[in-house]
This record gives sequence, structure tokens and C-alpha cells, in this order.
Amino acid sequence: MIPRLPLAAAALVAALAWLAPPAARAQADDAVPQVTRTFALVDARVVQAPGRVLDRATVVVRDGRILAVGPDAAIPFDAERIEADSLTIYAGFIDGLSHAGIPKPQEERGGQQDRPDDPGNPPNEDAGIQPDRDARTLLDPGDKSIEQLRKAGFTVAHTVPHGRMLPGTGALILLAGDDPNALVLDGETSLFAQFRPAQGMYPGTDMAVMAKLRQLYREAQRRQRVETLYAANPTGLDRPAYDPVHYAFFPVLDGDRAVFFHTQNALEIHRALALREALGFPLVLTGLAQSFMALDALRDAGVPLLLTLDLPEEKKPKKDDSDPDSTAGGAPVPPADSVHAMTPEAPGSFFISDQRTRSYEDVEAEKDRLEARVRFEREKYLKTAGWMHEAGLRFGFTTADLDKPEEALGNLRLMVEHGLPEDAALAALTTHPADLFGLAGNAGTVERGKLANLVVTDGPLFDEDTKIRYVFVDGQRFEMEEARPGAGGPATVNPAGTWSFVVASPDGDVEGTITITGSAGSFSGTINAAVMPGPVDLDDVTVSGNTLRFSFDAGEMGRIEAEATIEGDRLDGTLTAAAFGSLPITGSRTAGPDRR
Amino acid sequence: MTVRRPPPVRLASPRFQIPIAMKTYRLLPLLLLALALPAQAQDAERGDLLITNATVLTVTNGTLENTDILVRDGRIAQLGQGLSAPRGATTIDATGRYVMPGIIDAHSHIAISNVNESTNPVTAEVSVGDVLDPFDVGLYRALAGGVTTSHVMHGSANVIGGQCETIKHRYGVLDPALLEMEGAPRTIKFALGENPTRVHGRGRNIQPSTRMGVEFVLREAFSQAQRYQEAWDRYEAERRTNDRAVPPAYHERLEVLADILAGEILVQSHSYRADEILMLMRVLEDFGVDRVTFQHANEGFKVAPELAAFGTDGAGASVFADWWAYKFEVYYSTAYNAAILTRNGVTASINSDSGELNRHLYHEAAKTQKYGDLTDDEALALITINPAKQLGIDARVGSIEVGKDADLAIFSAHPLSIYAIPQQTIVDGIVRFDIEADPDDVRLMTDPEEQVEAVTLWQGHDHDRCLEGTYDLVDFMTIYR
Amino acid sequence: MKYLATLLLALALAAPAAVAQDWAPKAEQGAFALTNARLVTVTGGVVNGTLVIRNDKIVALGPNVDVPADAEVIDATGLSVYPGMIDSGTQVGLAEVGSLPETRDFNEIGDLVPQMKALTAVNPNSVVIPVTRTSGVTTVITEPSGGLLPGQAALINLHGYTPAQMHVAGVEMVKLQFPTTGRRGWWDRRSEDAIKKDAEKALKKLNDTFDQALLYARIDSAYRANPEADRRPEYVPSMQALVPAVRGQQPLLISVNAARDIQVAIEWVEERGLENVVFSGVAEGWRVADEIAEAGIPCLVGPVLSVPTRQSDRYDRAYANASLLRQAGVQVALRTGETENVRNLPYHAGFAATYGMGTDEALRAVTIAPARIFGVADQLGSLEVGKKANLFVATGDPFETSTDVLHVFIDGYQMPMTNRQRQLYQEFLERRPGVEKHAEGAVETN
Repeated sequence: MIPRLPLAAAALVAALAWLAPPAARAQADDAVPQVTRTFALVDARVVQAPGRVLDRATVVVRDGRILAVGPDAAIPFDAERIEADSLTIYAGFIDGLSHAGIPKPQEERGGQQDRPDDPGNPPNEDAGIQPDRDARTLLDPGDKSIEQLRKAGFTVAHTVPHGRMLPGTGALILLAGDDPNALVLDGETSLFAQFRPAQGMYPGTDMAVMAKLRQLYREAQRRQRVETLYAANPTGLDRPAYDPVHYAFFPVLDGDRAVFFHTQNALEIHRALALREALGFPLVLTGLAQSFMALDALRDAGVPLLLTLDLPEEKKPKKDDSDPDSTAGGAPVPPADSVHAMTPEAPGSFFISDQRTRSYEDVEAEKDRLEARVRFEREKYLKTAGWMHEAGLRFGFTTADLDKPEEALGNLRLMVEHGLPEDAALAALTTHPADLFGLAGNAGTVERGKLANLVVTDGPLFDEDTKIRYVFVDGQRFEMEEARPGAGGPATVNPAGTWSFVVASPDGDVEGTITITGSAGSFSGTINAAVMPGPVDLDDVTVSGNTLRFSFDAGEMGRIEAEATIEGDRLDGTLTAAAFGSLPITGSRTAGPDRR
Repeated sequence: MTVRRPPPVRLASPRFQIPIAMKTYRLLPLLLLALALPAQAQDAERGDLLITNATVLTVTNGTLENTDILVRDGRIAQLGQGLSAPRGATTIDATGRYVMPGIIDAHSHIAISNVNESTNPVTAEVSVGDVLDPFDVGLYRALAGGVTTSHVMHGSANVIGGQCETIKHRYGVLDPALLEMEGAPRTIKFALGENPTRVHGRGRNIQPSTRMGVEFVLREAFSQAQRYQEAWDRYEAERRTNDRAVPPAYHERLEVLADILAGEILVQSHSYRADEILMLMRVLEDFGVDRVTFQHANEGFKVAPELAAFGTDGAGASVFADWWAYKFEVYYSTAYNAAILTRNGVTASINSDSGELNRHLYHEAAKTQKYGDLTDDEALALITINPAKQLGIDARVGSIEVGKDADLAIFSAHPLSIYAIPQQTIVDGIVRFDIEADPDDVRLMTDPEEQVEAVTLWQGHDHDRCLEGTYDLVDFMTIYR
Repeated sequence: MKYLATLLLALALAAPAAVAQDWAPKAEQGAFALTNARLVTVTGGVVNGTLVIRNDKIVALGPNVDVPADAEVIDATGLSVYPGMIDSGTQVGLAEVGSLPETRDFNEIGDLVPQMKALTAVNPNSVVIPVTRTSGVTTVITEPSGGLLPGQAALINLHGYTPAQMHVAGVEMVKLQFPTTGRRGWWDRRSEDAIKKDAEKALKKLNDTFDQALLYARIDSAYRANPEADRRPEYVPSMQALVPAVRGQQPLLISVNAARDIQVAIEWVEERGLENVVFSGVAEGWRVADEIAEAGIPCLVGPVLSVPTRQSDRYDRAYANASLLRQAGVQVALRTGETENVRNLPYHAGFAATYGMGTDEALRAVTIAPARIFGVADQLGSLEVGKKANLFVATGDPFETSTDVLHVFIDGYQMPMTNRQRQLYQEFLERRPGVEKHAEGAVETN
């Protein structure tokens, strides 16, 4: 029997969801003041650039710049000295494409929008045609993504708006700063495009996205011509209408701005290249998860590339599906030599072809083979970076598809493990994107005069156990959490205990308690609040890194999903009811084994 | 901190430097296409092959017993006896076997990511050729049924839907462009009757909701295209004397419609009822378009004489062998449709419109012997030379003749027999299906995170796969039984 | 269809009176002798000779049978006679025009409606019926579809003017749409977990339902044993409908397709102790053929002409499925799952034959095998003296498309060999007028 929230409480929560402004965090922690902007990292191993290493050197950072790098660098009087003899210093990473600092718009929550009156001719904004939108106008320095990326070692990001086919222009930002403008390194660095059709209106399919892009581009070409004529001599000519959407293409037409086309799969790679072939715009391809299926095309195209740091999760066979007798996991993985020849006869083909007479007798073997096929398929994604490198393709990285930025470093190590040389990996994080974005004079290496963007680790970057200790952005130091086990990301926390929480609402705070028991893999718990008739069981209580997730049944309200970050004994996150929206929740642990 | 404006990310694309010459850039895509074509043609693999001692069903020149077929560089080089294989070429002993031209499916929706852009009654500017998907296992399954060419079409949600693509079943290629049958004429999907009126009229309360409305959606679209073309023609004339001539607005949709009126794109119209078939013929005549193929045309048999009399070569009809009664406009159908059309001199073909039927089109064609007593050659023509004519590719494929593409299907028995099993299917001289080397798992790509493969249960024919992409608009049960 | 051309010629030459008679030819019962025929009896080999029909039955067959004096003689020289084909799963008569809800009567509202009887909604005058039976398909299972227990299927002959006249031997079966872990089509985009959860939920509901049905059967028995003793039990039509199935008096028709679902269904049948069940569909049966054979559950397999259930499957799995099941020792009958194209049953059988089953075995799967599964082998499924005269005369192998069916008998009634599709052929092959309404040069007058 599921207890139900009384109607009044349900109505309250529903009202909150609509009305609540982003509620002020209950308790703003006062930051400890930093007394100097000068730091000296003494006696570190300094990887100045891929392949260029100083085994023992000091790096001095002052007022946001690298003041000196060298074995005998002078340490200024006002420097905070950091003993770095066990540490390694790298240039801060550059994220080639992300939505860093740009909050996800509310429209992304479910629920169908009203159908437009004329779905064939919707307003540009509804259709996702907003090339005139500027990422700089959307920045929020408090957005969680900035901190998440920084923790993964990124110091600069090329950030683009969320949206559909043409979400706007991108900006280069620093991944630290107090106000939006302070983040900005540069604006209008790209025209962002993706195969993301509108919903229930034109362009509603990828093929219409392509047609629409052709239309916009060619009409922009014409309008530019008309503008030129008019500017030269307006007499007798109709005044060209103000038209920000088409005008946004002018720098692209002039070759001054590239279209950054995000691709999720091999087909989208080919489609973006086909559009470039037809229209001739400067192109940067991003995403590229399946570029192992399009290496030839990428080589022929010769366009700059930004490879996703997202990798497929490894799926273990579920217990209830696996036969105890089966040898799942033991079956051989087919050879992965060939990425081009895909005919059944080709050597190295991954066609599975030796089960000629299949009947029930072969079903177990078939299952093993299919599982092997899935593993093999995943391996291709892991090997892609290495294959691209072998094929002579230079690339940077993008975190745009990475749901959990904390996985970036772990995934990168997987790529290195699967054939991407370490120097190439480092170049893809630093020097190559710096070149691509024209930042080479300012970022990408650990050199005097450059921005003080640094990643300081306790060992070689691509070693499994290495942790990031500090990240410097624009000379500002961020100390990472004490290293805990786990590859790159924060270690798994134990949420067990009793938490008192507050859900902020305009009608006042809703207070209550959450109790979580059990251990990793089998957490359970209850939630109770003054407005509730009694404790309700939590379902699907999971912990990933320091993120706690659970859901519970709220009667008429339906199911409420919770996601919160646990830092020590603090909890900070949101409650989401699919039909209504999200509310902020904060809490603190009042009891529990891990309570400090 | 000061950060200088970075040097632009710039690509030295020579094409991009093509000056924006007025109106000529309308032709730019075509020019580029022309430039691109030889490269594609080079890339599509072509093979050498010798098939010996076969019963060869040429379709256009009768049946040749104990005959060898020599294939060089993907084309049929010689037919005869005692031919010898070029060095290194594969030889297939076809003793006791039947070789027919590769089957051509004039109506298919396989190997494309999108079917319908159903948001507007006219969407001529979109093209399924833009969203080809070479990873569709359906390509292989059709190969295993002797199919070498498919006309993959936009759906039937719109009166004027998108452009279609004629593809070859070169399963195994990874680049979607390599599926395209290079040089095949452009085609476009129209749709009359229940589907567009259901999607737009009843789904959205905009025209057309009747067959009357369908006619005027067509007339309006064509009339706009005429005016558009005139505007550009005027501009072209003016700019010869006036360098300040202002080009008219560019409109991708009207470009395509103007190309239809110029006869550069073949109209392939989804249609069922006799009246709507007559309507479209009238409209096309009024706008000077003299080639059309009616797709489905379940009531084509009722107006067979009119179809035969249309334009200079007659209108084509590409029909089902026996589908009927899945909606009202196909209730008064007959499985004798193809036979009546054939006997009345209409170029008829039998298509699949289905990832199930396209695996046994030879059997679908054979049904015309039950329903109308067609001869073997007449029945085979329905899935070979006739669809080739309808798609404008009959000089290349559709029969076994020297000089034609070596697109061939080898059967264990006469392909019109229920007991025939396809043995090998050959595209451009490359064996793309061989029953002796048929892999169990032919997927080119799988989901790396999918632990257990999805089982999809067959629920009968999706008679309206044509309406895929519109299902948010129409009651499920009105489409699916 | 060479026969039809001859027929047309005959019609063209015939006297107007004959044409008038042919306008709505009627089925006739009486005495018929099919002489000089190749009799493919199915159960007794191929016999060359004569087959005599009197009223509804086959009364004689063999090489030396006398032709009764009153019999209408049909010279079947060069022709073959087959028992009428039985399609073990269709919706004939339950739907007329697929897209029009007003003409669809196979899916009642509700998940648990086993009391709904397909037989009630069969339209004996459906245009589909003559189109179907002229192909030699004389008998079909017509079944409801929809939720977990969508209703009762019925075995019907494709001739008769009331459902009762069509109904064969009272055969009805409650249909169970077994909870599935498969996707229902390309449009089914549920997550793997959601599908699994839905299936588990449905299985629990099924078990609860059968628990209640058992209880209901017990109450019903107790009441019947002594009806005067107490009041009548509650009226629960859905449970009432399940009583014959839980008592094993009537086969339970279980529609199940995915391999995993089949295994769960076998387990479920065994746990429930159900003795009288039939599987239908069984698309992935070949994967678990041994288990089905061991459970001894007969299978109504098909459609044969369908696509493999998994992307990784060999292209011919659906064609070969029936044969692989048969080889494992499963009792197999074939079904098309069709409504308007049940006429293609011989071609489904033909593909099964071609992909491993062989012609004889495939023929059995559309004649005697289903007759046995449905318990009507004493009446249908083969050419035997004493059986119902459900049979057809063909120019050859009925699985070949070049073969014409010339005569069809159902319950001894000789079927008129016409249907709307043939009528349209006759009207439109040489349409009058053609393109011109009047001959060239003729003056149009009002």
C-alpha cells in the first residue's frame, strides 16, 4: 500500500514547481579569503607541451599569468609556495565544444508543447533556428557545469547554446569567474549546428534540417548580395529588411566563422560533410562518436575535428538473463583489424559466419556470440581515438555528449589504453584546440606569458591512479578534494544516515527527513515531511560518485525523482515531478556512519 | 587580461571561393554534384565475373539455355557459350540454375533515416537521398530475395512530399553516397487521397481535407513555381544590362517544383482511386509535365486506357500484387490490376512498399499468372525492365543485355516458381549475397550498450509505412490492425 | 488463371439468359462425381480415380468407384483434388476495411474480456470471404485480438449465411495474448526495462485472473452439484468464459512469439497444470523447439511470410521456422495471421515447403494437422469417405502461383467461382467505353 500525500501538500508542491524562483541556497558558505594571486609551484615535473618535459622546475603564477617556468625561477615575495616535488603540471585542458555555463532551458522537460497553428511555417524561435543567439548572453557563472568541467581539468571551454538545429553562436570562456562577462575570452567563435529537428513542426526531420540549412544559406548569400548593392547605393532599391537570422550567416559566407556541426553517429558525419560539399561553408566537425565508420571521409574532408569524450558504458549481462551454464564473457572477441572492409568475405570482418545450421541446439552459443559482438562493438568506440590518430587526423575533444564530466579523464585513459598515444591525447586536450581557436599565444602550453591555466596532478596524467590536485584557471587556484579511489571522478560516497532537508518554496520551506540504510548496491530508505501523512519508501536509491539518486511515489503527484550531490554531510540537489517541474532541495546529515 | 580576437577558424575551400554569381549559384549544387559524381562512381566497387551454363531469363530477349554471362568491370560484357573468365575473376557454375536481371523495387522505404516530413502539405525541398542509411539490414534481406535496386521514397503524408532516391543494394559500403545509383534521374513523391487529407485536413484542419483540396494544393504549388521561375528569368535578363539588378528571393522548395515543371524530376505519385489518378493527369497536362508513374494505383485498372494514353509514352503504374482492403480507398481493388494494366498497354510494375514483401518480389510477380495469366516474360518484366522504365534507368538495368550493369539474381529454380530459392545476388559484378556464404549476423553496426538484442514481433504488414513519422497525428489503430 | 479466360470466352458467347443466371450464382448441394481425378488424400496417399460427394459428405473415393446416376459429373482429367485448406489464424469476417474502426470488430475494450466471441461478429457476407475461398481455403480460425484475454476464436467454414452455418463442430477457444518481452513493431520505442516491467505486470495479472477463474470454476461446480441448496453464484462473464479452459474442456489458444516468452509460457502452462493448450504465432519457436516438443504443445505457426524477429537473425528464419519446429517433433499447423489476404495461405505453405518442410509436410500443416489440433479430424483435413466434403479441384500443385483452382466444395456445397475481384476483372479488362466515349467520327448528341 502506497501512502499518499494529502491533496493540500500535493497542491502546494505543484504550486511551488511553477512559481518558485531559483531559490536562494539556504546557507551560503562564506569562502575563506585568498590573500594573494601569486603562487609558486616548486620543484614540479612540468609537461610544458606534449613531448616537452622539465623534470624538475618551478612554475610561478601571478595575476592570472604564468610569470616564469624553469628550474631556477625566482619566487616573488608575495607568492604562496606550493611544494610540488611529487606533482606534475600540465597546461589547462581546453574543451572544444560544450554547453558549459549555459543553464539547460526549461523547455527540455517533458510534455508536449501546444501545436503551432501552422506547423509548416513556425516562428524561427520555435523551430530552433536561432543562429543570431549569442552564447555570451546566456552565461551563468554559477552553473554547475563549470565546476564539473573544472574538476576534470578543463580551464577553457568553447561553449554553445542549447537548442535545436541552429542554437546560436559559441563563445570561448574561462571555467571560473564571478560574473558572466568575466568568463568570456571571446565571442561569436562559431556558428553551432546539429541534426536536431523541431518537434511537431518544420523542420521535423533530419532531411528537413538539411533542406532548411540549404535554404537559409543560399538565401543568406542572396541577401548579402542585396545588402552590398544597397550599401553601395540605395537609390531606387528596396530597403532590405532587418533580418538577424540570415545576417548571422554573413561571417560564415565570408569565411570568417566556421560552422561547428555536432554529429552523434556516422550518418550525421556524412550528412554534415554533404552539406559542406553542397554549400562550401567552413566546417568543424564535432562529436564523431562513430568516426570509425567514416575515417576515409574524414581524411578526405580535411576539416578540424573535435572528438567526444563520451564512451559507451560497459554493459554486464544481467543476472536473471544469464544462464549459469553459459560461458558468457569467455567467448572470443572477433578481431578488430578492419574498419574499412565490411563485406562478409573480407578478412577481419566482424560478420559472424560459422553458425550455418542454426536451431535450438545453437542458441546458447548464439547468445555468447551476440554478447561478444556487443563487446567488440564497444571496443571500436574505445579504439576510435587511436584509429583517428593513426589515420593522420588531428583532433581536439568535446564534452558536449558527456552526461557526467567527471568521467572525462577515465574515458581518456581508456582511449590511451586502446591505442591513442599519450602525447596525442595531451595535444588533443591542449595545443590542438588552442591552435583551432586561435589561442595558441595564450593557452595550451605551460609557458611564460600565457594564461595561468594549469592542471596539477599527483602523477602522470594517464596513469590510472593519478588524481588532479589543483586546477588553476586564470591564476585562480582550485584545490581538488582529497584523492579517493576511482578513475578521475569523485569517489563513491556513502549516503547512509539520517538527513534533514529543506525544500525551498515561495510559500515557505518544506522541512522533513530522509533516512537511508544499507550499503553500496542495496541502499533503501524513506522520506517523511510535515506535509506528508507518514514515511514513504524510496525507490531505486543509487549512488554514482557523489551523486545520490532516488525516487518516490507521491500519490496524485505521481513519481518524484530526486538527484542530489553529497559533499561531506551536505546534500544539494533537486526534486523533480515529471508533470510539474523541479524544486531545489538542500539538507544536512544528522546521523550516520560517515558523518564527520 | 586581454585576449585578442583569435584568427578565424578558416577553411581553404576552393568551392567556397566561387563568387556568388547571381542565379548561377542556383546551379551550384548541380555543378558540384556533377563534379562529385565521377569520384563516387570510382568508389563504387565493380567486379569481373563469369557465370556459366545458366538458363538466362533476359526478360527482353527471351530465355537463353546453357548460356554463359561474362561480366567485366561491373557490366555485362558478353553472353554466349564457352566463354572464359578473365584472370582472377570468380566463376559461378550455374548449371541447372536460372539467372534473371536483378529485381528492381519501384517503391521502398528501406535504408533511410526519415520517411515523412509531414509538417507541411508541400515539402518538395526535402530529400530522402540526404538521409540514406547504408547500415539497414533490410538492404541485405532484400538482396537475399534477388533485389539489386530500390527506389526509396519519401512517405505519403504530403501532397507533394520529398524527393526520392534510386539506390543499389551495395550492402557493406559504409558511405551512404555509395548506395546511390549514380546517374539515375531525380524523382519526387506526390500523394493523393486519404493520407494527405488525413494528416493535414483531419489532423491539423488545414487544406487539403478532400480530393478537391488536393488538386488545388498541386495547382497552387505549380503556379507559384512558374512565377518563381519567371522572376529569375526576368532577373537573368535584366542583369545583363543592369549590374544593380536585385535577385529575387531564393526558395529551395520552388526550385525543386520548377525543376519538376522543367521535366527534370520524375513524378511518382501515391494514389489509389481512379478519380484522383485522372485528376493528377489533368493537372500535369495543364502544366506541361508528360511523365508520371502512379504508385499503388489500386484502381489504376479502372482507368487503364487513360493511363496508356497519357503524354507521349503513357503513364506508368507501380502496383501491389494483391494488397487491398486495408483502407477504404483500396476496398474496390482487384489482384488482376497488373494484368488489366498490362493488357491495356500500360507500363506496369509490382513493388513492395514493405521490408517484408521486398524479399519475395519474384513471388509477388508470379501471382500475376494466377490473376490474369501473364506470360513468364510479362510477369518478370513487372519487377525488372518495367520499373526500370518508370525510374528512367532502363538503359542501365532491368534486363540481361550486353552493356548493361551486371545486376543479376541467380535462382535454384525458375523464379516464378514457389520453390525457387535465390542463390546469389550480384550488384555491379560484385556478389553481395551468396547463400553458401550467408552470415548469420549481417549487421554492420550494433548498439554497444544493448545487452540483449531487441525482439521485434511481426504484426502484419505496415500498409502505411508511407505514413511513418506522422503517427503523432493519426490514431494508431487507423493505421495498424 | 487459364480457366478464367475460358470462362470469360464462354460468357461472351453465352446466351443472354445464361449471363443473367450467372449474375449471382448460388451454391448448390447435391450429388457430384469428380472423375478421372488425381486425389491427393493427404492421409491415404495419392489415388487416381473418382470421388463422390453426396449432400455434405464424401461418400466414395477410389480407382473403381461407380458414378451415381443422379450425380453431376465433373471430369477432372489432368486435375488434382485436395482437401480444403485450413488457416489456423485469421481475422476473416471480423474486419472489412482495415482503417475504418466502424468495420473492425476484433478488439473489444478491456484487457480481460474472454467472454467476447469472434463468432458473434463474423460477417458471413464479408466481401473477403468469396475472395478467400475461391483460392481453396475453405476453413479458418478467426480470432479476436487486443489485450491479455481478448476473447474467443472460432473455427469457421467460409460459406454460410449465419455464423451458426459457418461454425465448424462448435470449436471455440479462449485466446490468451501471452505477456510479451518483444517489441510490437518499429513504433514501439519503450525501453528494455519498461518492456520487461510491463510483461511482468501482465503475467501477475494473468495469474490473478486464473486464480479467480479456478475459484469461479469451483463455485460453479459446487452450485451445479446442488442448485437448489443456495442462491446462484455471481454473474462474472469473463470468469464464466474461462471455466471451460481451466477445466481443460476447451483448448486455450496462447498467442506467444519471443523465445523467452515461449519458455515462460511453457513454464506457466506446466505450473498451472493446463493440459489442453495450443500455441499460436510462435515466431521464435525454432530457438526453443526442443522445449516445445518436450512440452507436447501443438503450434499454429505463422505468418511464414514475415521478417525475422531480430536484426541479427538469418534472413530466412521466418520461412524456416515451421520446418525447424516440425523437425524437432512439434505438431505444426500454419497460419497467415491475415484478414483480406488469407487467400495467400497456400503461398505461406509453399515458402515453408521450400525452406525445409517439403511439399507433403507443408500440405499436412494446412489440412490434417490443424484438423487434428482442433479435434475435427473426423470431419476435415483429408479426403476420406465419411468426412465433410470440404475440398477443391486444381490444375496442379496449389502452392504454385501458376495453378488455378477450378472448383471448391464446402460442406458439399459447390461454390460459385466468383468474387468481387474477378467481377472487376471481367468488367475492366476491356472496358467499354475505352478512352473515347464514342467511336471516332460519331456525332455527340444530347
